[in-house]
Amino acid sequence: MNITGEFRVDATRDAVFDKLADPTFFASCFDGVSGLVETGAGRYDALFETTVAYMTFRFKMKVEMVRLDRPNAIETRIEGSPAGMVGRLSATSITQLADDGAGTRIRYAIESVLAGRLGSLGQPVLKAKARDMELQFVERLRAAFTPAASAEPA
Amino acid sequence: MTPFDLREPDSLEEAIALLDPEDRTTRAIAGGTALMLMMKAGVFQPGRLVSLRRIAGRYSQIVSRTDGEIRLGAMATLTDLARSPIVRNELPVVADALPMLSNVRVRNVATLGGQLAHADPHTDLPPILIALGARMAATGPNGERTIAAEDLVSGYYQTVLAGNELITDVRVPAQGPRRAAYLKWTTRSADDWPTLGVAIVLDVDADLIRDAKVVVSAATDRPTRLTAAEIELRGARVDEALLRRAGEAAREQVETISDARGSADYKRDLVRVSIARGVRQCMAGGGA
Repeated sequence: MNITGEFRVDATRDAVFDKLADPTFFASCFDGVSGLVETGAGRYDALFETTVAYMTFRFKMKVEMVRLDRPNAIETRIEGSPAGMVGRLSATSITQLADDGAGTRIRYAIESVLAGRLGSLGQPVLKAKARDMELQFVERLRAAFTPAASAEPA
Repeated sequence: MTPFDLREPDSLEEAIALLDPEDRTTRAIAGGTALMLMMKAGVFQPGRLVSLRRIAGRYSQIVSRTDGEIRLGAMATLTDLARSPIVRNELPVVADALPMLSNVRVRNVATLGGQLAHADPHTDLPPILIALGARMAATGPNGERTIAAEDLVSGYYQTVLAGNELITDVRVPAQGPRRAAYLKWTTRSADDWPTLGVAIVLDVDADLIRDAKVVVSAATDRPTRLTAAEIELRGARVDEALLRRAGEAAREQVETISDARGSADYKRDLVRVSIARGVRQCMAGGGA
């Protein structure tokens, strides 16, 4: 399954790149990601849990940042093993940054493959959840560059 | 397996009271064929299962009413449907589909209501029931309501049913003179879960199609009416040009999902092919 999209944020390319290359921030862009641990240079383990209807899917994820081309692009490889089910999730994500006026245009392309029992059960789940996750990612990245509202009225 | 609470109520009212719409780990269980798969796959860990076994007798009747409506009890097993003379005579497209619907061991325990409430897109009956214009009766704490079959499924494994509503019967207009066909494509045996299911119901006058319903399932995240193909077919006389146009319209409209059974592009092409084959099958005598 391929997911592509683009959006703009009000921040410089360098600032956006630093945010996206920060694994802790990146993981916080998606509900259900927990237990992020660095296992080597640019390599991380994490847990991902998502629900569809009454079912809960849990994955042990291995994430590797395979290309960091500052401030132009980030390429990430993701391998996921579902808990309790035979199968494997493999995904490659390429994020490209370009100047857009005073801000930055972010283009992303994610190619994912599900194999095994997960392939028949999980593909529609992934499709159902992909849109929600895209919206979360865009909203949280934009929020990261939006000044916090003053706690007290002016 | 982690222990869970199993209840076996003696009445529908008691079963509904035991369900908790706020708790995703509480589920009703009828035949259990689908739910057990999910439990074995590790994606569902129940807190409480409410077995409907003890109330099955009252809700498994198959009745032909004088107004032409067939009522299928939600607790009727797929084998009950397959062996019913009422289903064979009044809903032949359903009867023809049943021998291909899973294997006999599953059909002996899986129930009609359970299959519909489970909302797995890889099932055969929902598209047929939608094309026939069926409605479901569902009962909850506030009484009974009816839901059009095409409005039941709201997403992948999701329905519009509240967590404490149960389907009690399925009400289907008899097929009558309407022509109907169900085409099922599988990647393995004929009774496997479908890669694609296409149900077509036509109201015809000689070679003129007065009305058409076309519903696709399995390749989509929910059973879906292919209205573009229906528009092409409605009011038209059947010839090869019409079948090509309707197939292309269906292919353009349908949004298929890639999975282990095939790519989205492959399934879209199957849909295109299925429209012509299904209409031909209808016109060749797929009626009551």
